[in-house]
Amino acid sequence: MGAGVLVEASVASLLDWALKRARELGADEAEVSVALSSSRQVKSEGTHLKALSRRSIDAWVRVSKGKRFAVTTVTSLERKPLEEAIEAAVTLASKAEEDPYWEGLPDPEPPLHSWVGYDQGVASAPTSWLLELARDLIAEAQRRPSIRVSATFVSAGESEYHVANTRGVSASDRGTHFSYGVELKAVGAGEGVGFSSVSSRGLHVDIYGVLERATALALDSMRGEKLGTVVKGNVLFRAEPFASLVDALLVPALNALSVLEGFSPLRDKVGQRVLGQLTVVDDGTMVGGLETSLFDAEGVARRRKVLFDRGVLKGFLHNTYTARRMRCESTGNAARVRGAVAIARTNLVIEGGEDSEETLASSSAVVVDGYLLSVHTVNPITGNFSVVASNPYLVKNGELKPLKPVTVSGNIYEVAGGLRPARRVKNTHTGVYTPDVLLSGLTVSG
Amino acid sequence: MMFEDLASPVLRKAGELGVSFAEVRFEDTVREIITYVNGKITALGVSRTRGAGVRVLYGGSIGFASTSDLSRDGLVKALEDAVSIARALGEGGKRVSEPPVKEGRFQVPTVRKHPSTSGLEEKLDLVKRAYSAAREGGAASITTRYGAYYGIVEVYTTDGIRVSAERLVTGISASVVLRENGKTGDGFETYGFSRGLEAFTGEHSPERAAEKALQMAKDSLRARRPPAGELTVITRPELTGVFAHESFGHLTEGDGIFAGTSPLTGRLGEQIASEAVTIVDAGVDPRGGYYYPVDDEGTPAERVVLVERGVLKGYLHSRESAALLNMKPTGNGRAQSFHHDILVRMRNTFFEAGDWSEEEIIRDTRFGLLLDKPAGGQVSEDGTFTFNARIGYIVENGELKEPVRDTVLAGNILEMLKYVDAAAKNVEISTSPFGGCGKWGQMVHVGDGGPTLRVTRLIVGGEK
Repeated sequence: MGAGVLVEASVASLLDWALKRARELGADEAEVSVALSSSRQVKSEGTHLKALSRRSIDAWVRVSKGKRFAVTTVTSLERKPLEEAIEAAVTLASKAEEDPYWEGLPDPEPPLHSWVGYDQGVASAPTSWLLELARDLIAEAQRRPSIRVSATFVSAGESEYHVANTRGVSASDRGTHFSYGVELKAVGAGEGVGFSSVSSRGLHVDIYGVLERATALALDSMRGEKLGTVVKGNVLFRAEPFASLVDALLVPALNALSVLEGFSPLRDKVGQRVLGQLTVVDDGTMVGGLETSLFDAEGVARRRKVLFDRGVLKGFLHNTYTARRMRCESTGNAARVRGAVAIARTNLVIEGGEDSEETLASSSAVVVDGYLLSVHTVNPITGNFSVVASNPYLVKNGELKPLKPVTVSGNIYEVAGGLRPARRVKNTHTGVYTPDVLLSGLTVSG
Repeated sequence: MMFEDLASPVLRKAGELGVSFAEVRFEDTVREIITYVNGKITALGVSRTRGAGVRVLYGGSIGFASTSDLSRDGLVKALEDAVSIARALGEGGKRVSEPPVKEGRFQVPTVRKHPSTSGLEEKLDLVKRAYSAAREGGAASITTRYGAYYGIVEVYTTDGIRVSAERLVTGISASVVLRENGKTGDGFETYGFSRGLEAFTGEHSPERAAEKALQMAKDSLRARRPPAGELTVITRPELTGVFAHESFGHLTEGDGIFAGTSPLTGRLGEQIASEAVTIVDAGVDPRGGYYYPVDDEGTPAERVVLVERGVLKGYLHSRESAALLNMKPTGNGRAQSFHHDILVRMRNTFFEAGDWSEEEIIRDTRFGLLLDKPAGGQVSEDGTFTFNARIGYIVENGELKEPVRDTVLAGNILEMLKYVDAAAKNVEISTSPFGGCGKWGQMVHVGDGGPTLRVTRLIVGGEK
């Protein structure tokens, strides 16, 4: 890429042509979007380096005929394949069934903020520099004799997104992403693993921070002892594992389509206190946010919305379709998935509380750090979770003693009353910004 | 061969640029999805993916570049990108191993109703029938799905590979929620095959999927969380598959072996599991799974015995990993799409049959859990494997008692597989177009399976 301005005019005219063509072929309404991205990555399998370069084009067509709709995509901007995709979408929509709730595509609106997460430094970072960073990560990690490098990666990419529809939406955005990370294994008396990574929109480099965390986790886990019993009590989740639990368990329950169709345990809980004292905000406008953009996938402006205010459920994440069904405003959370416009979070911010991390750790039986294995298997329909913590610690006389991996189980809504967030909010580099959070009444075994 | 004319000039140009090896991998595939939620279509789409990935070896270093521009200029630009970034790496120690076979066309046999030639009405009929059956069964919320992935991957290299591979996986699923007296029960069933739509009849009909999902949800309504701690666990075939995949499968992948980070490094020939354990990774098996006769490097898929009667026998390899370890490629070099580089991945991974029946195993168990319906799993390089069962029963004195739900199971590969003490004869191997296996940001379809299996010690993540 690197030529956003140059291609913008031609993309705009292509979208214009595609919308007209869709109408000519019989669509009542049409939406066409184009995502262009390029990335460079240096990665290592063990210490063996490999360099990758990707240029991708994704064109997306959504059409409706009456209350029927369909979606097709192609990996090309050429008119012939795009026209085939439009034809296919119109044909599919003609044969589809009516959705009585379909009220059409979104109307145009201006962006509600002006921050564009585009960093020329990321866009122009040469592969040779990415390589240098990867080599530094490997060399520094290997300074400790008990550490082996499982994998490293350094990646820089830029993307641009254009969406237009027959109601007059015409939105564009662009951004850059930079990330690096390392997975280490410690081998000595036992074996242990540690992973750490950083993701940002700009060029922020702190390889020592990443190495320090991954190395400490790997060495602690190597020295870890088996819990050897079953414990029921307070568990302090460090920010990273808590973020992954929230993403897998809570975010799907906040999806308005899940709410409307009866798959969310939060479906009749608006106005009720269901999450202890936690305040949770989805903020697609956050300056510097990993997931910040001007518009969502439908061209609706990104917003800031409070989902839980001191534990009280205030609302859900919406695209235009669910918002119209629930007679409210879209929250600008539309996302493209296969065959549909779905709903996805942007930056999820969990506010800090009153306690220090040390106070919460000393009130806990177990502290969970690193990552949660099998976190994708939790049950968002009920709130049940049963996961394995890669890097747990037993709290003994105020000290943290490393453990081998343990299982941690409970139900997020049943233990919500005991949720206690620490004061300091951390960037987990996943788009979730959260403090460490204490959960009470969990069962730990290992 | 669809892309041969495009490949030839790129490979000629690669020679001029001084590479020791070049490969162009073309893809032209389609994904179809229909999601039907409570009687409404919420997703209806067809996505076509068309492009090429170019891998080069320059001075012992690997460069990979991808493009959706299949013009001659677009492909040459991708080649030049790959060469340029490989040069930036400087002198390296990479090679690619010699392929056992260089030419071939690999097609999926006997497909009667290929999704590409079947109408939307027929596909909609599948999701609507499953929905109707679930609704008649009293479900409060219902999602049914149809999905398909099909098309062609072609591989051309400077060392003479000319391989065309057809890919096909189709599937249907039903997920239901039941509500009763303030309680919520959920259940699901998925059927997936490398076959046409004719597969979804009889025992694999949409109605049967809905019935199975309803039965699971009914059990789930009555279920409690299982007791926590180390317990005897009996896994049913679908769950046994995830056990095979997460326990041995990942840690036999050649990239973890050459990096020296897999706990199975250097242990070939060692007894690392009980004699009841035989695990295989195969591209094709008559009992089902994903039909994958040749990998994304053009290497025919070898049937690899990973563990035979408890002894570690083999690793999985791509051309790159095999060369680093002076071994043979096994047909396990796979990529999510043309945009992705080759990683070492499983195909169909399964425990082989024993001589018990499932009933005998249950009757022979004094106390434990019989578990089923995996929700996925994961493994870490210290040998910790985990997988999750959505539903099951407590087994007491040889009989099934009350149901249990949402259970994570964990263990260490070098410890827990010694406790597998019984395998039944009932091997089943399954696949799905809706998900697969994720590794380093790449998702590929896989199959897995096995028989009903008993492990006398696994860590159960229940509640106290």
